[in-house]
Amino acid sequence: MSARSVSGGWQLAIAYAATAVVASLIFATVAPSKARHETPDQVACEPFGPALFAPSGRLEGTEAVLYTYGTLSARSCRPETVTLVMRGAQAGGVASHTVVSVGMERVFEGEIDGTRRVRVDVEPGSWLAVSFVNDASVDGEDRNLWIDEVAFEARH
Amino acid sequence: MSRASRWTLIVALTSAVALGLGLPPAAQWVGLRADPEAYRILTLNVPTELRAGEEYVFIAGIAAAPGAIRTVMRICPTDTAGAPCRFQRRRNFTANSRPTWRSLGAAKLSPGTYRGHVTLLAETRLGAFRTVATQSWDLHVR
Repeated sequence: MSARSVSGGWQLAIAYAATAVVASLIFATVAPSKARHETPDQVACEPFGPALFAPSGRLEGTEAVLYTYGTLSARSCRPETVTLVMRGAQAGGVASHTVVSVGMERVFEGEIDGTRRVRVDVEPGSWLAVSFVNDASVDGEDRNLWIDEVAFEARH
Repeated sequence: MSRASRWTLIVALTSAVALGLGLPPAAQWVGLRADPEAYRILTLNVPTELRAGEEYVFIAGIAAAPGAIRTVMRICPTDTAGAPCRFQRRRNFTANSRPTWRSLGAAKLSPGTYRGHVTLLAETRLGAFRTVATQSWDLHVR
């Protein structure tokens, strides 16, 4: 075998290898992955929560307190009216800033000083989230958010 | 054909095949679920009426297929012509199959009007991050 044909063989091998790499990448892109999992929204609606997502807080049944920023979330799988009874406090002259969302719709936003009741209709499968977003402690005053009640009532 | 010409031809053909089949954008999806519902911003719990000088946390509910997730939040002034958008916060976390509510970052802003943007990115099998969802909102700071 001549030196020229050996060189040509290497070139051919490299070309085949490059093609194989390209083909495997394309296959990996279009082929179903074994690691794929269903996210909650892909499967049939499953109720969720109430659950608390906060660095510091407590959830007991349908009552919760957020000592830091955080969110109480829930999901219902039937038409319901949710009643939230929330309580805030001032620190440095500013009360507990609260945002209530149902899916991408903001249904309440404001500072809660004292008790505030919010009623909201939720459709099956929609996500409800109550967030406290301006935690602070000023001169011994501590700003928190208490959620005294989350009540779900079936809507007919 | 000379040896150099053959090498040039091989490199050119390989590149053409890769580019022609759209490999760069397709490769970014490797390891990600392609269906748009797999990565979602469920709720956007962000303040829109803020007090100047107060610190607020911006929160989003996220559903994502298992893997490395990154959020990037930008808050840009809209009332000052040509004002640069300097505010940006980045957060990383690992998603499982459960939805989660996470801080996108905190901000203390001066009076004005702004527009917030959040980008949700997921890591591909090749280690790159690809944008899988975006949302925007308006802010008023008084």
